[in-house]
Amino acid sequence: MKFIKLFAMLGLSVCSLFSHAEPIKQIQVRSELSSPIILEGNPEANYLKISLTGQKVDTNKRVPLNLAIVIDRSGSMGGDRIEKAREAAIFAVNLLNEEDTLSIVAYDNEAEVIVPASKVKDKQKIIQLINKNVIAGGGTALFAGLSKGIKQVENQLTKDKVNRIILLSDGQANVGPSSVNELSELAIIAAKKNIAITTMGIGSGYNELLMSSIASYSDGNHVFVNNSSELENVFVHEFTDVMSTVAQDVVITIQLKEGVKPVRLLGRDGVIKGNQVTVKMNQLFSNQEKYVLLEVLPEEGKVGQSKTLAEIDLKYDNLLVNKAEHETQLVSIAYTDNKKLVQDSIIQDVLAESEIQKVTLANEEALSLYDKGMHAEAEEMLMQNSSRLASFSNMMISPSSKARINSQIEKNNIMVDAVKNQDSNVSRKIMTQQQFESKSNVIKK
Amino acid sequence: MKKLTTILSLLVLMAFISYLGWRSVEHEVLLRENNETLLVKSRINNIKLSIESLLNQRLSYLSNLASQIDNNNDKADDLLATQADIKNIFIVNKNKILFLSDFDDSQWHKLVESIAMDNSVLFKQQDHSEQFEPSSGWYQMYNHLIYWSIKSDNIIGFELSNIKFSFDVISLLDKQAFEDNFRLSDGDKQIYSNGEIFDNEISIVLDYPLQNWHLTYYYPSPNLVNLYLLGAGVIGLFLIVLLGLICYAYREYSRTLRLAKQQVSFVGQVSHEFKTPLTNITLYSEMLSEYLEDESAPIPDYLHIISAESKRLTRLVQNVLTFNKPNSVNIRSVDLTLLLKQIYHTFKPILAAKSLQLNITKLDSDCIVNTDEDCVMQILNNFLSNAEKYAANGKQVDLSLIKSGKQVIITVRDYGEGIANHLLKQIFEPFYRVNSSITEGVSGTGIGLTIANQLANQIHGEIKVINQNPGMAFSLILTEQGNENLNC
Repeated sequence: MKFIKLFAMLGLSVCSLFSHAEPIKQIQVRSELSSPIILEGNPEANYLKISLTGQKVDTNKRVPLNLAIVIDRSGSMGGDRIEKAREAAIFAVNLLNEEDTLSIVAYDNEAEVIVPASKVKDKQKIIQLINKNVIAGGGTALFAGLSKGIKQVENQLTKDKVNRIILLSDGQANVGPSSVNELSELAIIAAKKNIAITTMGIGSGYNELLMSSIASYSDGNHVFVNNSSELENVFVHEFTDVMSTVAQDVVITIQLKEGVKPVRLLGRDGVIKGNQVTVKMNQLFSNQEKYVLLEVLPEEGKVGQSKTLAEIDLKYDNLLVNKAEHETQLVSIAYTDNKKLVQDSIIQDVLAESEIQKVTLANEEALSLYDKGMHAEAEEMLMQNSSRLASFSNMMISPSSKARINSQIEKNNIMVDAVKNQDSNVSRKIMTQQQFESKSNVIKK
Repeated sequence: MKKLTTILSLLVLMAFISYLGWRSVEHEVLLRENNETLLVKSRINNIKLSIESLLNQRLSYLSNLASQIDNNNDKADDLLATQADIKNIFIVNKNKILFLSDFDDSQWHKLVESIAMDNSVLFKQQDHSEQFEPSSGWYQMYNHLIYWSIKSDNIIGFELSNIKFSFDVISLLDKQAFEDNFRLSDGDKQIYSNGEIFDNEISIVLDYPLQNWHLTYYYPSPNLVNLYLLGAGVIGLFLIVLLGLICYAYREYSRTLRLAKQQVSFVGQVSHEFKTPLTNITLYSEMLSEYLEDESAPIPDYLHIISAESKRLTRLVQNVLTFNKPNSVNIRSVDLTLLLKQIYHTFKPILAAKSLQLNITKLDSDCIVNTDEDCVMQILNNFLSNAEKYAANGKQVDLSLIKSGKQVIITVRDYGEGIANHLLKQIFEPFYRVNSSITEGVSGTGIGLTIANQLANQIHGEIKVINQNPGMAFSLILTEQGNENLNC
């Protein structure tokens, strides 16, 4: 009897989560375990997924942007690249309106603020300034450029705007602090000010680790633009994302109950301190689901017992209503001796994500093998991971899970293809971008 | 030869002036460069101060945070999470590390361990007196910049994030919008750069704990080409003006010289024409005096005067003719007393005609000097005729012969209007005539005193002019020279 009651309860709660009972809510928060019912006795690794989903919003009523475009105008950008970068910047200017704030910084041997952060009113003037000043020549003072970009955004920093930097570069930073650590520290500084940095690497000459680190530490996007003609498309994607921002400054605190052990965070990074796990997200877009995946080791329990596993505390700024929101959720776990029940209760979506993250970790190894020059081994490993996903996909019943797994298989195939057919510089960048996407725990809707 | 020397000395003078001018231009250049350097130094110091004041802000801010921590590890964690300025934190209590962030960074770990072991390393890098141990300060080692503070046995250390500090420096310098050209580097990493790079640079190192930071200031050489051009122009102009003046003066001089020569040759030609009639006058007056030798008292005397005067005129004409040529001097023993008496008799009636009384005020007897009689006579004649011409309103002319030691002084003193002192030097110049009321309407060649002077030189004498007020005293001073015997 107890099981049925329990099952019903669980089903109800799941149902309530899926149903659109609250249509006003633009941001949906969901916390679930991959196996909410487990066998008594030795507990196995379980996955706790907390996800935020932004709902489609009216595009006419979007949140204003506070954007800085930081453009590399070093010598290597000469020719088509700088032209496309100019076009992309002008394209961005045209996408913005008077509510938005824009600043443009260009850097070579030194960084120059071409357009100081101000409301986009006189577009022609801004475009003129871009055409006049974005001209290639010199070194790559990425640090100074990014610093000035951050400063420009900071000058107009408000909670009701989407604060973002788009960094364009095609080379290795060579003037000023240039190491991955140093620039990651700068990205962390930006993140602490709630400024996200999207990095766009153009061509095969840039430092993919540096660029992806900047993006991941500040919770921005990282895109590899192999051909500068794709730049405008990349900008369209970026702007579609950024303009659909619904929430900002998201802080998720997971307080695990006594006896529950946090093992690791999969994908997105956070701070694990004792039984408390804190993860921050800079922003949430309306067309995506962002999640935190925590591997936990539940406490032992007895048949029929149901316990609270974790208390989830969520804080974020809802940009649509301009309000700081706060939400708490409880995640509980039940114990049984019925294997069938355990099997049935498994939430496949969560399991699929955990599998994807594990494969991503395995891919990381393949990437490091590739970096060591062991191309064949890396390829084989990627293929293995791919087939591992394929067999996992067969076990899935839920179509959404299948789709997610398949998208990761697709990613692996892209990487395998890159390893096979591209020169090592390009394929490394392709892999870095694919991995970056996987690790950012985002499900596009 | 003389011309060449003049030209050469002129060239040397010009070269000297050019050199002096150039030196002053160079001095000006040096002065400007020096000023520029001083200005640059003050600018660079300004920038340095603003960076260091930023660090001082961090110091007070961190010292404030340090007082909040107080052995509270959670607070330390919180600061690490929220304060971008702080990269790492350590808390050390009596050689034990109580709190340490970022274990993975082995260098940082070792650094903190060394501080825990012996906290005196913290003081060593700073300037402080032996007795006084500061309770807080900066400590810089490798690339870690640590603010430390001692609070009741605990040493709390914050590692300042270099990156955040660099970021703040960039923002600060951008905000201050310096118009200077400079580069700021942390070690070999350029943090900030502004403006262009020029040839001239000044580098300074920031003070501890930013001793790895250096600031290089670039500035263009002040535009000295203009200064040089200006200097050269001024010197050139000056030289041209100088040359022009010299040329003008030379032209004037040669013109005057030409005029004088023309005058001389005119006088020479006229005088030449005088010679024949004079010779006849002399001849016939002598013949007449021989013929009328036995006539009663005044007639032979008058004839004698006529012949003597015509002879004098002949000599005068001869002198004018040989103005530029040295006269042949006929030195012999001359009784000046006698000569003076003779002159007295000759001139007395001439002066009397102009109602001037000629007096002999003193006449030392037996003055016999080896000299040329004609010269002395001509000089005295000149003096007396000048007195007659220009001092006629003085009523009186005094003649004296005084011997004093080896000198004999013959003086002609008039009581006329006199000559201003500043003109005294010029009256001996050829063709110079004092331009005043006394010379007006009086005919004269302007070479009388010149010839007198020339003659005096020939007989090794000297002419002295003294303004006696009223009137002038012209003296001929004869000195015993060489084998000449002054036998008075």
